[in-house]
Amino acid sequence: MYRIRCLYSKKDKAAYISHLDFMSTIQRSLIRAGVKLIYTKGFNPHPYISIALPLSVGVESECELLDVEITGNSLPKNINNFMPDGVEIHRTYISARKLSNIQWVDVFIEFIYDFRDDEKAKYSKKLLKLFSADSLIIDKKSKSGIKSTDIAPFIKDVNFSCEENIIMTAKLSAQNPTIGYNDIIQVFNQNNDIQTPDLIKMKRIAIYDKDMILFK
Amino acid sequence: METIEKILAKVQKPARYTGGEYNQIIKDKTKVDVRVALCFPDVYEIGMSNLGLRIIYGVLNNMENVWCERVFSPWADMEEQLRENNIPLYGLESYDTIKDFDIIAFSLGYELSYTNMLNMLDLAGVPLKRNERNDKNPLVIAGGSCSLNPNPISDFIDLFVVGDGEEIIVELVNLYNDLKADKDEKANKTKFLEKSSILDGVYVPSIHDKTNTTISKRVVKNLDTAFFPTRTIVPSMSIVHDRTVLELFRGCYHKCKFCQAGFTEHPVRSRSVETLTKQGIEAITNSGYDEIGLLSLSTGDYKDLSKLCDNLLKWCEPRKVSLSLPSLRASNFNVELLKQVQKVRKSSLTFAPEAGSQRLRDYINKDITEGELFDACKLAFENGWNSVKLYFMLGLPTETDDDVLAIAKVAHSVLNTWREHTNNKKRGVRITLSTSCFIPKPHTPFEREEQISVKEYLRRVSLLKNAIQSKMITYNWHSPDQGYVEAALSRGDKGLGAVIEAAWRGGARFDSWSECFSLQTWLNAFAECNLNIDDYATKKRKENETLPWSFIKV
Repeated sequence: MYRIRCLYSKKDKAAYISHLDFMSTIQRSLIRAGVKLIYTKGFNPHPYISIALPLSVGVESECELLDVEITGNSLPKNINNFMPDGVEIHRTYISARKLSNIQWVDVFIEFIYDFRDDEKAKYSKKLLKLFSADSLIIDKKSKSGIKSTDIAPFIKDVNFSCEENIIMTAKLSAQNPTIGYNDIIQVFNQNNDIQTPDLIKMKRIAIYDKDMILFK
Repeated sequence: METIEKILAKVQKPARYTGGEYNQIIKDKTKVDVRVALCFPDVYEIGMSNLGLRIIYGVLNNMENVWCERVFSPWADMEEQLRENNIPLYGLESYDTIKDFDIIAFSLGYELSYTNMLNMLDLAGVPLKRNERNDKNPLVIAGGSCSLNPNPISDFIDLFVVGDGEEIIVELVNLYNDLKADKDEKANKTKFLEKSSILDGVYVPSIHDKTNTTISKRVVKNLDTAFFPTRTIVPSMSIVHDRTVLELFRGCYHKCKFCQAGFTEHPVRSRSVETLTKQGIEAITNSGYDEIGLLSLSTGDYKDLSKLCDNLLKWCEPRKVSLSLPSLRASNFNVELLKQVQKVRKSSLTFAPEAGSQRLRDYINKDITEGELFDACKLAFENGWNSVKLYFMLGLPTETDDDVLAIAKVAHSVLNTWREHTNNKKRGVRITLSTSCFIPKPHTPFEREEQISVKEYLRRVSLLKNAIQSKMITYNWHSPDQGYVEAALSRGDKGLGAVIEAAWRGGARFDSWSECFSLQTWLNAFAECNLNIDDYATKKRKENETLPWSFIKV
């Protein structure tokens, strides 16, 4: 029995597959590829597959990690032939590090507005100020309900640039608490003096541990 | 694409509208001659669970010069977004608008999806009525069990396929292509309809209505050589039937008098165990599913069922793939079968006695006895099952209050059977009793019968409800309102085209979804057209009356 870690991307059309659906999608893909999965015992056997950080619907990622328990020690070379559009496994390896050690996610966020370009540049500065402020309080959903939370400590290295769209790069806290797509939207919902973009596109670029070392 | 991205961010379950699943077929549009939009008038999760759709998709895409794409009904939130942003309905494979396709083909298996069909045409920007369309518009065709009475929708459809679709669709598309002068232009519709109207299993309203021709259904004679999709799309979201399937046979040996499929899908044609075993293993291998469903109208009647289960289990069991047998009759249920279906995972058990008393079961020709039902339940309980579902109909012809009360008796006897034979009383038992309203269907011995009124159905429901004494029996009843409209549409004539259109204009969508259905919308539509719904639904037809669907020969 081997616990294999897979680094994969989930982009384009695949970004719209929900976390729960993605669990069965990946399971079926692995089975199609001929991978022999290890199953739980009991009435309703299911395989051991764990995804490091659930991804919101619509968010893309180049740095997803999942662990899967299989009988062999590697996945077939042609594994990507068995995936739906937009899912690609880049690397597989055996790692002793626990997924719970992940702490930061590098993200790339596009704010799409139907503005004139000079207006966009102005807005870009406004957004930089908002997201790099010392305090950024939003109503945050958690297991225990909605709580007013200052998320500023969980957002680092904020940068803004303005090309065709306004682009933000930052590191967001990955776990405990998780700062995700919905929290970014919530920032707009709770700031009346800032126009909500027509579309916010988000992509995960890389993941780090608490010491900002790339997590593998 | 960016506009579509924007709207996908605003709708529930966006994966319904993206495509990109494993095994979807992508072709180079500059290299194909004919483009077909295969439309299913319900949401993705329902449509992708339909075997017929998968067969037609596979057959058409096997033709090198044809590209067939899927289109499902957008849910209300997506419809709103599409309309607001002026995005015409598109094919899931190419995202191209389907109004530019050659053929729009609807799979119609349920009358309550007619308004969705109109809505899809409208969202595509295609005129609804065939006499409002010209050669620049796609040809609009339809197949599926609704073709057995095509009258209510014959204003909208250029051509109907009656009977099995997998062979005739190829002939039609080839004929269409032969008539195309240029790849980028559509074929001459009049010529195409003329030529296709002589084919077996084809009904062309604009031609056949002038001559009172009878239309015979198309039958695929040999299922062993017929196409079966073993390399089929694996949805990336959960759908209603999330499993791979095999089709054991078409037709049914039993002639239950209410059952349209039983009277229209004859003769019975089976696939051989060898073919099915091979197809099953291929389908599982190519999909990665962990369950395989053995489909037919009555799976227990398949003569080599045990051998087929053995063959499949040999392969499935080590791979943790379970078998499911959704249409079992209590009369041929046995230990061996039971052990086979529960080898990997335990699936639920459902029996459909349809009527509560032996008298009524005999009358409707449902040849199952109480003894057989109790024996089947006994076996299930002895083997550790603790839930059973029982399906019945209310309002069958000749039904009396005694027959209704007999349903409660059956449920209590099943409960007693559990008490006597379970090996774990502490776990309790769940007996789920469901009733739906009888709907007289064309081409059945009951085609002239009346449907009981909504009020009468509800009276019988409460009679039954009050007769159920145990908390371990759960009673669910289907809304009679939907059945009422379904009955009218099932036995409709050409006059109903206007009603369906009026209902759609009045906002009717997803009528098969109880949360979306509004009886009032339909009553308004009937009133607008000066028609009485009761003339269609609840009225008994006279013996000498010519039935609107009698020109279809099954």
